[in-house]
Amino acid sequence: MGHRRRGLSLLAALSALLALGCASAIRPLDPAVPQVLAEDEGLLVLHIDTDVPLAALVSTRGTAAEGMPRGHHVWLVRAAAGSYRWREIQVSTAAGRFHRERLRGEEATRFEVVAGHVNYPGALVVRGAPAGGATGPLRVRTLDRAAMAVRRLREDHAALLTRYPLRDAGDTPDTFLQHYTRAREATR
Amino acid sequence: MIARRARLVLAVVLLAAAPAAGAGLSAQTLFRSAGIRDVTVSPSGRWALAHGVKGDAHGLLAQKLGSGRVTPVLAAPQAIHGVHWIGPDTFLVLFADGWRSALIGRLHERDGEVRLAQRTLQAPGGLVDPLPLVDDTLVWEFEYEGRNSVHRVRIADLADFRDADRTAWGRVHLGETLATIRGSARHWIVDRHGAPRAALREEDGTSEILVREADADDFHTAYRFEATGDAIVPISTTPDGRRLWVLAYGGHDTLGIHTFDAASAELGPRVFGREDVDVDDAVVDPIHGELVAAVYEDAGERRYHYLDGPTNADLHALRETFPTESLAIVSRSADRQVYVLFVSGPTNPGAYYLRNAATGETTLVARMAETVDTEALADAETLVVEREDGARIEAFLTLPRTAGEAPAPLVVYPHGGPIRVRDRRDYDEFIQYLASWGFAVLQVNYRGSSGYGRRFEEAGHRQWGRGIEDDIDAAVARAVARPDVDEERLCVVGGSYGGFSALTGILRHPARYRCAVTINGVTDVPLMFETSDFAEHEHARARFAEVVGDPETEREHLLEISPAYHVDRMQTPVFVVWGTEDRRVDPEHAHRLLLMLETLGKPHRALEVRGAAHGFTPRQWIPVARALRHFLTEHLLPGQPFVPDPDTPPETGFVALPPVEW
Repeated sequence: MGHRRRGLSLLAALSALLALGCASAIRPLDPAVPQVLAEDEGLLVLHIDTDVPLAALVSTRGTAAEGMPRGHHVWLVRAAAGSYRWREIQVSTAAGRFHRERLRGEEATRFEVVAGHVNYPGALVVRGAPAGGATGPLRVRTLDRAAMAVRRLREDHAALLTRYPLRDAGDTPDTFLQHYTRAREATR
Repeated sequence: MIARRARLVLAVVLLAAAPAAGAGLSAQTLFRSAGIRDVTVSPSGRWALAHGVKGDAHGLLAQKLGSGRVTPVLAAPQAIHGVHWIGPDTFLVLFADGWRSALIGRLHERDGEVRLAQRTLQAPGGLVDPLPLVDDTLVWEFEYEGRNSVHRVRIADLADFRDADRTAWGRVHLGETLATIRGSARHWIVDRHGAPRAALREEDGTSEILVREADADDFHTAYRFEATGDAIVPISTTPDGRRLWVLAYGGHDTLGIHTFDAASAELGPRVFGREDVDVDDAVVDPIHGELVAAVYEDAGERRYHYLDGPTNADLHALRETFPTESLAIVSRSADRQVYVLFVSGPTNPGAYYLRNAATGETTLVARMAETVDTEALADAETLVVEREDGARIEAFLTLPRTAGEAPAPLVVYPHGGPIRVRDRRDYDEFIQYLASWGFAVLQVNYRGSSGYGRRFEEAGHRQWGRGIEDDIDAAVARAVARPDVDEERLCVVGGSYGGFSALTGILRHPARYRCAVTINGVTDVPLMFETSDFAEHEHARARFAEVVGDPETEREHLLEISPAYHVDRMQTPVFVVWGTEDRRVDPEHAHRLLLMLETLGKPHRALEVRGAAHGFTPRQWIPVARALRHFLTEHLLPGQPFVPDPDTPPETGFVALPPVEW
């Protein structure tokens, strides 16, 4: 019995290490420190609109965000350059538990982080079961709400938005960000 | 003859709400006026029942006809969605709480007092047919796990409904099952024996008419259509029960009423129609289940053509009393001797009269907006503009009562849609609010608007920012040519497509408008295909592409007409209004426009309406209307200080029905 318990503990520790390794591609900004990106790093806009509390948003390269209440959230994180896909949403339930929802098909949005840019993958819109419960089938869509995100981010990160160019990170035919960027450059 | 005493009773209330000289009406009064929302007469002809609203409070008032007394019988626990007579003296109240709550009420007298016996119920599904001539029984539908079933149910059983009444196969086991079909159906047609005979089922852009013969068990598809031009919409069964009355084109340019033989799937000859306007609705007598009237718009006025001669003759006689207003019979007793007449128009929010068909006596019993002073409302006239391509454009011009003193500034107010939506020459709270403060308002039924036939509607396809705007320009030219409209003081205000139109208007005519307002307006046309609620359905996306253009192959053109990409050319101040919960025109449209206006340093204002969807509730409209009036005053009445809305007089409760003493 003792040997088996030690084995499980080692397995748990290894999983935690692996999880940390998975999360290291995406890191929060430290507001106390001037942000200078590494050569292989970009900024990623996390834009989430949810009517259920979310425990976590997980990508193929780690956890992007944790502990989001219902509502509209827009913020910046640092992210290693490369390809990503939204893999899983963890929905908070009662008593501190969460329910895993694997994202598939169109829900599992792919996006590319390019170093030295502010990368916008779209707004993840999460809608819970009709009665607004925290469990049950979710509807997840990605919508291009780039202007909404930029107007929010300008309040706290005007300098970063000026220093690093904006780009659409997802596969979208939408050209608004390019149009806005050109207009902004022309006014400088 | 209209009973004079009733009018005097109401006049006291109305005078109390009259504005002071020089001031306009209050938005609070216009949008949230207490009043009676519906008046019906019982199948027995013994009772009149009124649904009253004051603020968020709803209630029912009843009078026994001839008794001389009106009694409040119910203070509703939540908003009332509808009231239906289900027996000679029994009615069903459906609440709008989203929890499928309802109430059964039976009116009776005891010791000379009007009493209401009531019972609540909570059941999924909805009312299909109240079967008012069969007491304590109605036809109800349930939808479970992809199936739609219709049941004849005793009311007591429905009140005791529990989920245990579902079977393991997803069917409901309650009462007598009359029909079960796969999918979701609407427009259930029930014959007078209580048997479902037809339904309209829609799935992925395809519509089917399902029918069943009187002695058959199963439904079959009698007709299937995708395109609007082939649409056939069932109304009711014919009196012999062998065919259906339907709305259809039947080879005409306009919609009319036809018969439809389900067995042969053949459309019969037109029973009623017009060559210049669509019949866009029909009235079915809820007691007898018969088609009684065709409904259409004529020069902006809603007209009801009753198919039986005596009723039509009776309404024709009433035209002398109501020459310019719309008249409709909204409720009748089973013997058709007593009925409720609803009268409305641009200066009449709606009034209910009880009429005795035998004596001709007509009594005003209630108004929809009790605290609105109708003497202060502005009338609207119809303008007709003939375009070079032969299109005939109807527009409605509302002039403020002060227009005779000096030319009025004009607010151009194009409707949304733009296809299969229209304006009416009817009472509108926002228009009356603006008119009361000195603004003229122009509405335009441009090409693509509904009600003028299929050719006119299709003429609006692929005309976003083009032919539609040319029609609006032509109507504006007609309006500003009048001496009572000031062509130097124009603003344009619109919602949804109307917002797009407002922005397009100031781009097309930089010197014409002094200001523009967009409310939940489209600013980026390709964005509609990605973010709108319809974008998740392939058939709806395809339909929208037919109407506006295909983003896959015409993206350049769609960007060319999208205002968010041309803000550099905007010189006119813009007010951007949007609802945070709009799922039809995503808030991103407003944010794109604002980001560009801010970046390019263009004059603008913004108003976010928290919790508002694509259409605003009356409560949400109040601060929006006031903010818009402030903006319009600044630009169209320069030098005049903005005067806040007058205080709203306190409301003391529903105005009781004046008693009918026949």
